[in-house]
Amino acid sequence: MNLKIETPDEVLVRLRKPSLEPVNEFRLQQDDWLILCGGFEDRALAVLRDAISHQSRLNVLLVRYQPAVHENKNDAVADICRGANVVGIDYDRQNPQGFGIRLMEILSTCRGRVFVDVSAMSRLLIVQILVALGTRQQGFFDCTVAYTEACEYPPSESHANAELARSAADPTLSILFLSSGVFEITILPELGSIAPAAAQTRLIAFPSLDAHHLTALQNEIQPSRLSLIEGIPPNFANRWRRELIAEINGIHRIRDAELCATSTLDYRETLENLLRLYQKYSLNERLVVSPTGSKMQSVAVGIFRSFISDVQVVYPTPQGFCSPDKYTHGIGQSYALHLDLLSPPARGAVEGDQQLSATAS
Amino acid sequence: MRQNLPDPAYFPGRTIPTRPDVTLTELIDSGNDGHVFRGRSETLRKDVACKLIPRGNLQHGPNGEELWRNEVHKADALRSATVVKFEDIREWLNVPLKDGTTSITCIVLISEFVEGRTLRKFINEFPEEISIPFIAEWLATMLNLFNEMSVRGVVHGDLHPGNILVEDRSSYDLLGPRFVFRVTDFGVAEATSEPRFKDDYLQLADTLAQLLRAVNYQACSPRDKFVFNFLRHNFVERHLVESDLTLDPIARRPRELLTRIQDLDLEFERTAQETAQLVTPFDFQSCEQIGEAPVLLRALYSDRFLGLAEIESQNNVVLTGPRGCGKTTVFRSLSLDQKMRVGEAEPDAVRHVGIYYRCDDLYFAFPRYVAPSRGELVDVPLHFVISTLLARLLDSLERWSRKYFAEEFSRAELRTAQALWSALGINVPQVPGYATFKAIVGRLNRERSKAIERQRFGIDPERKIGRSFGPDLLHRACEALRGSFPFLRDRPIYFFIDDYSSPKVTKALQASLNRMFMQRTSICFFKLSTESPVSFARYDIDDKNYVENREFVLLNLGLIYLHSEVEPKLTFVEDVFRRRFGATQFPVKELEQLVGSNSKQNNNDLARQIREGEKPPLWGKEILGKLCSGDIHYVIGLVGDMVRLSGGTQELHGTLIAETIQNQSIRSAAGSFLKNLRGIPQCGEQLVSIVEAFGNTAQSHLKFLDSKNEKGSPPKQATRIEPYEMFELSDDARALYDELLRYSVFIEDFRGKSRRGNVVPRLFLRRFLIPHFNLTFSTRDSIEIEPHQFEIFLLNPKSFEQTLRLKSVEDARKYDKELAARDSQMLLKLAKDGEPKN
Repeated sequence: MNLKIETPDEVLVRLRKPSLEPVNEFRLQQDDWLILCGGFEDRALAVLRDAISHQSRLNVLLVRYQPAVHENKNDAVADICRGANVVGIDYDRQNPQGFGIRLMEILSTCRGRVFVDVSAMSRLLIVQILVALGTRQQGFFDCTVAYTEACEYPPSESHANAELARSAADPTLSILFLSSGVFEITILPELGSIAPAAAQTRLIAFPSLDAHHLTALQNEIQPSRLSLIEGIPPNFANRWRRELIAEINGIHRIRDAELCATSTLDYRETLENLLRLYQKYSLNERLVVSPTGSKMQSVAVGIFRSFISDVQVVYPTPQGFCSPDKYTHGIGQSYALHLDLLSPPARGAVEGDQQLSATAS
Repeated sequence: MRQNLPDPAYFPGRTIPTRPDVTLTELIDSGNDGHVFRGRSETLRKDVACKLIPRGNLQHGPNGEELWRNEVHKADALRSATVVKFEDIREWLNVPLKDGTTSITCIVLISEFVEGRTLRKFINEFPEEISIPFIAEWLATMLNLFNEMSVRGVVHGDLHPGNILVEDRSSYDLLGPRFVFRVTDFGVAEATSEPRFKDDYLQLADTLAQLLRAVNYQACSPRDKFVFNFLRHNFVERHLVESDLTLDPIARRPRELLTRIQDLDLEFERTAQETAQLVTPFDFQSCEQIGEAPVLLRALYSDRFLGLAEIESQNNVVLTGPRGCGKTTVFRSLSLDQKMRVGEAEPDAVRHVGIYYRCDDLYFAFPRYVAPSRGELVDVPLHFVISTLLARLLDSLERWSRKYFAEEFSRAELRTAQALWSALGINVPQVPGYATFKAIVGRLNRERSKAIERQRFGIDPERKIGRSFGPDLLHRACEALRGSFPFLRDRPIYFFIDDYSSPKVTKALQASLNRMFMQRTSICFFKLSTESPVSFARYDIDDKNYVENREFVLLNLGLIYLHSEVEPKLTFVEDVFRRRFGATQFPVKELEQLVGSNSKQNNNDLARQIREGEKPPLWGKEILGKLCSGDIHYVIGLVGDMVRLSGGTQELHGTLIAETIQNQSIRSAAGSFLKNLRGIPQCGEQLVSIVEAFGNTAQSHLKFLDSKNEKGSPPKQATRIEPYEMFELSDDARALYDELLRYSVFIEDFRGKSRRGNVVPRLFLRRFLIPHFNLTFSTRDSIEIEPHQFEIFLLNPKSFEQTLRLKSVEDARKYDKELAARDSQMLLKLAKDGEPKN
């Protein structure tokens, strides 16, 4: 007799979450696929260079952003991958609907492992890719997230303080460090919820360096309740950024916002918090999640959404970007996150173990 | 045991030797102990079920007593129609075994034949039919049976999904339910030679767990999710498995358990109790922030709201007004759900059945909707909206009716449900409880999901699209309801559709849905709220144009507040604060005790002070009335800021907030509004530039120009912009114009004529922004411009400002001269045009 009934969130809570492992190299096989973006940051191609140095004949799925940015490194990818099978796929960030389906069509021939290098990817793209992978029949089996840190993350503390002072003097001014305004709030049917929702909406968002993101989300979604997940940089020297972002977004002045803080690197903290919010609120509220935090926080959103389909993902697509030189510099530590523990075979194994132990007891 | 069974192929076509009227026709199922056949009785002229068990498989006593007979007769004691009883027991001698050399005696247990499937097969074949209402119906049936079993001391002993039948009576029963649950094989497990008695409650828990596992939890409505969790935590894990009554006083007590199932709706309402509490009077400034807190909403809802009577009395209404003006508050307050939750749904107080629907739901389901090229997809949005609205209507109506018209509802539910299934034109689910409102609501929720799937995958030509509901279906369903329930005859059904605004709900989507929303019938009406007059599409996909005051009445709350006298506005504002102060432990009870009264402040005096280079202090409750363009949530926030700047509630001590603090708060609040405006996707910066160009120009006019035809020649006080003639705009300019209206930066007024006698839109600056540009609240004067300047104003506001902003008295003289010259030219032209030809 098996009386165990689990909802998907409970399955995810129970599963052991793999940790993000620092790695010095990425060794891929001939049948493996590496998905990456040729972004303009230095770290964009770090994983690719390393993987190619060990195995030149792998498969590369190059996501090309549209509208294109001149400084993107798409040409460099072609140079690096002379012996590899490079397949290009356009990603229109102003109309990204259906990207996951197109991606899966390409990967349908994949006989090896899938590596997703999120280092230069947009946050929405990270979520789309992980949801597309996680909701396949084999789920995250043989999937790995690759991530490379940068050495420097602008703005500097002094520049940030100067901008804050300027804004304080003129309350109508906005501070813009990276992106400039919001193109629109993007809503994708594939990341939507089909469940008849509760009447009250809760927005779960990650305050960022661009306050327009949160403003636009609040304006458009008009949530009844707000949960904000602040980011804690892993490097102690960068901890001031949390306060900076809080100040820019005025989050301490937002009435009734529920605040929590999670590591910008260890995605498990974010995943735990998302699950906590889901279990606390999903019965009586429509949950809308906007992955506006760090790349690894977006990885958490992607994993979360691949299990939990009755939450809505929305994203404030930036209007434009500041000059590439205002973005991160240098190539820091690389990490690998093996997602097999979250795949259906692993889920089955755990369930099987539990059934066995239930029977034995 | 199975090896003792005879070959089932031996039986079909044979007559039971000891019941010659019964011929076995087909094998239905085989188990460990025997086979089940369908048989036909020629005498009774009906089908019967014949369970054949080898005698050797049945229990006997040491002296050969037939112990099994007592077991299989147990069910005879039960009167429940759920039980399938054995009507006859016969022997069948000399039944050959498979080897062909030996033969055995079988016992034939004959019972009525139940058309349908076992629950086990049903779960496998129709998993999509396993819904929460289905499970609740099943569990209630089982507990009802368990209650009788408990009273009569009967146990089943082998209750599992293979012994529970889903009976289909549709071929013959016209009055009763067409599908019911039945339970068979009472006592059979105990009657066999290898007794395997299983606890009925544990078996019930196991079957319940199987059913719950078949449910797609994430596609459930909040109510169904609640029931799902309730059943698994309270029934599967507790009431059905606990045997110690000291640990669970209602464990295994079917009467009490059945009551819990019947009270699930109430239980859900109780858990949905509001958690939102008003701590300070300035919390939850808008209805969106209040969220699902009906008692709080009731406490804060002011019936002094301007325009309320029109909203209730008009038929199809399009309500517009700035964000935060109370559209949502009014719509929700008028809904039946809200009235029920705050105990104001007594039939005498309910003049209409109001259903509230917020279009967020539509926005998430059909983002960026464009008219489809594939014909079958055209009605998909209608399918979605009708499913949603009808589900909500049935849900609200059932709860209200059960409370106030319980008998009438129970009497008519089955008939009404059948009429509704017929109106929907979809296959009636082959499940017990199908003829209930809950079953229809469950199905409608699935239809919602179907609509989303169709929309998502409709671009794939290979994918078939099913039939969708048409625009008249909701009306027909409402007619069916009115026809069935007398208490609905004098109560129209109002659908309050909130935030029906482009671009969230795109114009193409509105054009599709307007085919339903703009229909006028005698039973149901649609009240739409939209952000601005331009966020509502006045047409449909069949190119039918909807005309104001013919198909709908447009009610612009911004204009109502703009043109209202100060007194009614102030009465409303004061009432809002009175309610908020009263709902908290705030030290004052009236707005005047907090900000004072400054009724003598007049616009001309203010203007003269401004001209002298001053920023006259703005304070007092009257200013709050003047600032309000309907956007009451700004006023609430503003007073909250004043209290905060004064040091908080604890610092008030019964004294008025200082004039300087009031003034500072009023002036800086507009700055925050502009900062937020900058964050508007795509055009925020441009909108701010436009409003700044206007504000700066108006300020310069106040400084250097006098108002015409006014006694005392006071300074010109323009808070609106007005073209002389109607203008054409390029697409880019039109988009900006629409955004200005959408965010109510300006409020458009078509009433009145321009200086040249043309009906033109006049754009009034949102009242809240007036202090930021150091203007007055007068609505007398305007910045008048040529039609072509409107395009410049929108696309190149800096250039506009350079042209029209006055920097000196000389500039003002020049401007006046040009204006006068233009006026005389126009007079000449008008005179010329007026001369008779030839």
